[in-house]
Amino acid sequence: MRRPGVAVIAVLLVGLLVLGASCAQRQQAEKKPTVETRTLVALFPLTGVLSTFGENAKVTATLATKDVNEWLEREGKPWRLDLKIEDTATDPPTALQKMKTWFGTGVKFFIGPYASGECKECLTFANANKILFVASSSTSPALSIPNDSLFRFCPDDLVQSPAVARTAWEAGVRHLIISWRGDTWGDGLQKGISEAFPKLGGKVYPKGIRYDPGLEDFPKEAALLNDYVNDLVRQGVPKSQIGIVLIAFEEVAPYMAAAAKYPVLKEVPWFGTDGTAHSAALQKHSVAGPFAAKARFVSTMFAPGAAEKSRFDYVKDHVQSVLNRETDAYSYNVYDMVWCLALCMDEVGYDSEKAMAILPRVTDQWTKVNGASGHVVLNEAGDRAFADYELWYLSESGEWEKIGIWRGQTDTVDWIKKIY
Amino acid sequence: MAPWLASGLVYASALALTAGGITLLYITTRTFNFAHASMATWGFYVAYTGTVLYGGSPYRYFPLSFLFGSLLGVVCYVGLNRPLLRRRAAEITLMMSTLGYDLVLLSGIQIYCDYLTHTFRLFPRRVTMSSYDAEIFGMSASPLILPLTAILILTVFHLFLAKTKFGISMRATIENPLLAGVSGMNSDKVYLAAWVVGGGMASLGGAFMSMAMTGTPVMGMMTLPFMFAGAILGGLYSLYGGILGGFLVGLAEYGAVYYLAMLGGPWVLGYRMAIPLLIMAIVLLVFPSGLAGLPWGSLPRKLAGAMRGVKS
Repeated sequence: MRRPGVAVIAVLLVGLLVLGASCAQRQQAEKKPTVETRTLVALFPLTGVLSTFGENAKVTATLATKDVNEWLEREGKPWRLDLKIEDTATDPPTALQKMKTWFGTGVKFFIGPYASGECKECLTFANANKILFVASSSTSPALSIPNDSLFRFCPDDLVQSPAVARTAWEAGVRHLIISWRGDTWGDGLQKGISEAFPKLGGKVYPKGIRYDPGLEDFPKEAALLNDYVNDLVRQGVPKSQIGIVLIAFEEVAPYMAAAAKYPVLKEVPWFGTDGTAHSAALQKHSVAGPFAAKARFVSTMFAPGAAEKSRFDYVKDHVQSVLNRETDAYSYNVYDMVWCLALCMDEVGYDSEKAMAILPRVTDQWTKVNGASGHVVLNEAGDRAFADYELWYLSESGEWEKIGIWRGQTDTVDWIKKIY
Repeated sequence: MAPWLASGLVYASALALTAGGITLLYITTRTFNFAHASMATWGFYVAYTGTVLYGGSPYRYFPLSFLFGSLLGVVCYVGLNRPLLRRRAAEITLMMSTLGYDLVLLSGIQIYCDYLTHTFRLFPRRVTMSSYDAEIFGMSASPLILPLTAILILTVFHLFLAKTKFGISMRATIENPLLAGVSGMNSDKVYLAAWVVGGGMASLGGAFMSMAMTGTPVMGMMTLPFMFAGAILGGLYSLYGGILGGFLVGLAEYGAVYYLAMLGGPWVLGYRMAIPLLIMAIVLLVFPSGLAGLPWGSLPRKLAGAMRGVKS
């Protein structure tokens, strides 16, 4: 026989519980002011050919978010920054897909992606939807566009190409062989260097080696480089006048590991760019690292201006303690980017259009005092406007050493240490 | 030996093993195993972990790679393939189920890489295993050892199929499962054995592969098209054809691309992936049954006849 009394008591109990819970919630809400959460999505290459950079960026972005939230709490601000990190796998379609997915949930503030190819893929969608995205390492001149949604905390390669060409020239090189990754970034730099080096009086070998950006092994490319160097030697060019420019990301390590099998490739100087400076993949590679030292592999990296109370050491020490390695220059940009976007959100709310308008000013003001990557001034295209480049060399002790600075204004190199 | 040829031989041996594994699984269980990609990558990570954490030559850990791949194969068969086969699932369903399994394995690889990075401060996402290689006669051992090992493994496998009772029942089940079942052969055991061997070959192939190319979490995924190309070139229904197909595709990717780039210019490198696939397509156009369809017995006689015809 059914007993309706039990059911009634049960319903009453549930009702009381719900009532009690809602009262408690209301009391709590009355006690504490509501804290709004504002989401910032980081599109980092946690896997793929920029994964070391991605790992560094993840650590510095997390650190910056913690610092921002501590500052917001100290100041009694009614909102907190919520950082969401996504892996783009250094793959342009993946980067765009992640951006679309987060935009679908209402997010309009992004940091990253890292590579120019990824930024290019996202640009049209971001422009159409007024999404503010700030890249730490995209340097392709093709993306230097005024009034778009992309801001870049690094200078573009129109500045870097002459730096590489001049460094090679100063090293005594008169014949340059170029090998580069076939993407927006690599193509732009290759074109720039191919134009800049002949202006100094040098010659660029007519057969350049453009490789698939997804490539992870390079026996054929190394074999061709060996053939080309030998071809120049046969033509009577001294080895000291032959140089190789490798425009690569972290695939520099397997590339050099393959090149190490050809003795003549150790005898000519190699040059790299910001994609290879501070590469932990190269530094920790048991074959490619020593090869880079032997081949006097010098890479360019933009030289940040000084900030009054720079957080450079703070960020550097933090990454060292977490990952047990020295971080790269772009990760300092990431730290500054998180702060600058947070300050914009604090000033104009979660409105990406208004934030775009004030970002150059906020960036200038904050980084002038605190910038981990130095003082950042954005030009009319929203890109970093500095023009000097540091020259980094992976020494035989396995440490990255700064050996000179290329001055953009005078197109000269100030050597700190002579290796040629 | 030219460095590119040395790498090419190692890579071709790796593809022979993996393509053989794909063919074996297809002819036994009608399953195109997409999880071969991550099984191969796991094989590399087993060898890498052993080498960097416990020392010694990578070759010491290759048997472990094989065993781990077998384990992954058993999990795939028991957890996915067998239930689907019992429900008479279509080939496409069987194939897609292995794709899902591959994604799970790939996630596991990424987690494992994070573990190695943060616990042991290693650099597991870009590894050159050849730097741990031994030397024989003043050159790297892998271009000599690995092709020979691949041949040895395949010979043992051939003897197993031809001379042992289980091997013969395996062949019978492959050729006619219905008749084999009526004759009292346990097809479930045969399928399980196929996954043990196929999974093991995939992982061992991955360990081999890492001696020729950079080991990354997506190494298997990047080379999967070539593994399939090898299996298809071999004719899909012949285990030995698959193995030979894998070897030829591997050599074509290194040798043909290098020579074409030398002759035609470095732009050819951009078509690195297309060239072996093009060779596969041409072979299939001429011999629709693949390498297994070639008249191997009468081939020397026919070639000699053709040569005589050319001379006269």
